[in-house]
Amino acid sequence: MSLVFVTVGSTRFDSLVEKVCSQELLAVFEKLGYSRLVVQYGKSCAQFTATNSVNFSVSGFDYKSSLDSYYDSAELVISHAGSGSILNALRREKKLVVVSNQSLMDNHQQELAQELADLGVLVQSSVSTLASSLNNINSVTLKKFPPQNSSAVKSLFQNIL
Amino acid sequence: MVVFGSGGHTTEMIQILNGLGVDYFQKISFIYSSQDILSKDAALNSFRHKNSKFILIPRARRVGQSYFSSVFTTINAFMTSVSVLVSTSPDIIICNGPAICVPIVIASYIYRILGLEYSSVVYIESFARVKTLSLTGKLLYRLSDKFVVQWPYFKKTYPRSEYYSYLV
Repeated sequence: MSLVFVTVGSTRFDSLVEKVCSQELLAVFEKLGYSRLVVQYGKSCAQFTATNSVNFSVSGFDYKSSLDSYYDSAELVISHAGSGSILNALRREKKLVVVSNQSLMDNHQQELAQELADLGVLVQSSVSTLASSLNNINSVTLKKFPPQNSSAVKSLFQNIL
Repeated sequence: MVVFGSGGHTTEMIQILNGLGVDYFQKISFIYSSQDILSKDAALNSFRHKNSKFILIPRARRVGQSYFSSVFTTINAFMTSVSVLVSTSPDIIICNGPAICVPIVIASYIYRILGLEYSSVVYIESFARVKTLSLTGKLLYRLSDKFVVQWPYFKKTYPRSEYYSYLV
């Protein structure tokens, strides 16, 4: 029951939700050996389609108080470029494909995705190139995301109180 | 006092607090905005602190709200921030970018000028901000006691900023 988890975060990402539910992408997921797709679609409910075939099931929801179990059990995470989703996937050492939302006015999110793609810890893609990024995913070797420096966190708070 | 935002801000804040060790502070007040119950749930799911409470603050401006009505909602948010500061009198205010930080930090700054209360403000810019500060970051750059960024590119443009490798 190999799982792909797609998350759009707290707002919406119509074109991504529509894309991952398309026949084209479902065929790619199946070819890569996945059997289940779960989509956290936020406000993009109209773009979501649930399907259930013998080999592949697609389910989804708008929001849940915790997405931890999905991140934990996913083998592949496809996410919008929000820092929360990126961190949740990378901290669990999941294979991560980030799709930037070009329709956002303030496109600073792309900076983060680009920087992390340059570090080699995730794959950066777009809605139109997602299928080919996924087709190549097994030939890409991703680096390990550097761990949190908890002594740095502690030193930050020293001498304050 | 820890100020939560939505989505990524909350994820980052939880990571930072976990890195610090949740018992680092004897007492924590978590501030969250009225449109963001998810943060409260996320915090409750992530850690339990023996002496913590959650305080709700109304949003200054919703996405898409008209400017005229946002004058009143901003005043309301500001007044709530002032009363929350008075009732909790925190030693330290930790915020990491959501807009609800702004009225809280401004209120604490006014208190400090008046000599009524002194809270240290630690601002930690979001991990998402690689080369440009958020609007909240720009507004609070001079009002924070410690202004922390999570990427090393800000030293030239914002000399007061401090960088400490991976915090999240």
